[in-house]
Amino acid sequence: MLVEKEARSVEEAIEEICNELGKRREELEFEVVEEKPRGILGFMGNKKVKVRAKPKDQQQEDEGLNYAKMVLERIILGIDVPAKVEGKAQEGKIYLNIKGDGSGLLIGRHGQTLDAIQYMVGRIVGKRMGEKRRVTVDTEGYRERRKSALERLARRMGDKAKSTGKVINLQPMNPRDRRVVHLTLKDDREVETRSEGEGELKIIKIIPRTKG
Amino acid sequence: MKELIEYIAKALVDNPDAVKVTEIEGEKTSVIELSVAKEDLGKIIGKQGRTARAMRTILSAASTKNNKRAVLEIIE
Repeated sequence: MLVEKEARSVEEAIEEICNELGKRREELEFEVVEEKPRGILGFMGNKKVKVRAKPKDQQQEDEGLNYAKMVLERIILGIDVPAKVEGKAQEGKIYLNIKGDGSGLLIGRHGQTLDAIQYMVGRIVGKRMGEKRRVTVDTEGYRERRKSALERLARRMGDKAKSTGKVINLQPMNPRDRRVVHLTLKDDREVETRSEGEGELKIIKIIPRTKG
Repeated sequence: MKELIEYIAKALVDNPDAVKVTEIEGEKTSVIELSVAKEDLGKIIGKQGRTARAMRTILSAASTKNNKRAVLEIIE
């Protein structure tokens, strides 16, 4: 069920929707659909915004999140690392963050332990909830660090491909890592990137384009 | 480590009662044997062995912490 309202401000639109549906704002999820200035100058008060609201599926969301947190805590306990888990759910996705001892044991080489834990929590939550939920597990800001490291690697190897004129093969990577590399180089007209191989891990080839 | 594998396996299968885990302790290495109901075998192995691989990765993190190597054997 979706409801849309146009009003002069976001605040006003939210209020109107709540009144109309007879619901409190905590029970709804809001999204600004469009903001259009009225008239040429777009002074305050002349603006119109359109807000869309839908009821939150709170119960289910929290159940999934709480279970995911519990599963992750249980796995970490089994590995025997002192850690705390924080979690949030956003747009149906579950994000869990491990506040650990900083040893990196839960990350592993190229994040493979963290990925295994993430995959396992996702599988177990999916099994219990009867539907697939996207679960992301992070610790010590690893996901973001890995992303910037890959972007740097992609640019460096892109430059190398250009200066040597030779094809560069990167190490086998998982789909998420490959996506970062492809996206980093997608607007570079002098190189082309291609994934090759079978299965979960594939290598990326960075191919210099011949000029002309 | 045995408890960890038991917990994960039970959470993944349809017949948790059929999950059996035994640990055979050696001097440096212990072997953890996991058996499940026949119809659940696919669930703990996963597509292209992905679930079993994730279980082994988690187990090796646990064994690093315990200073003892552990090997997971899935009994068919």
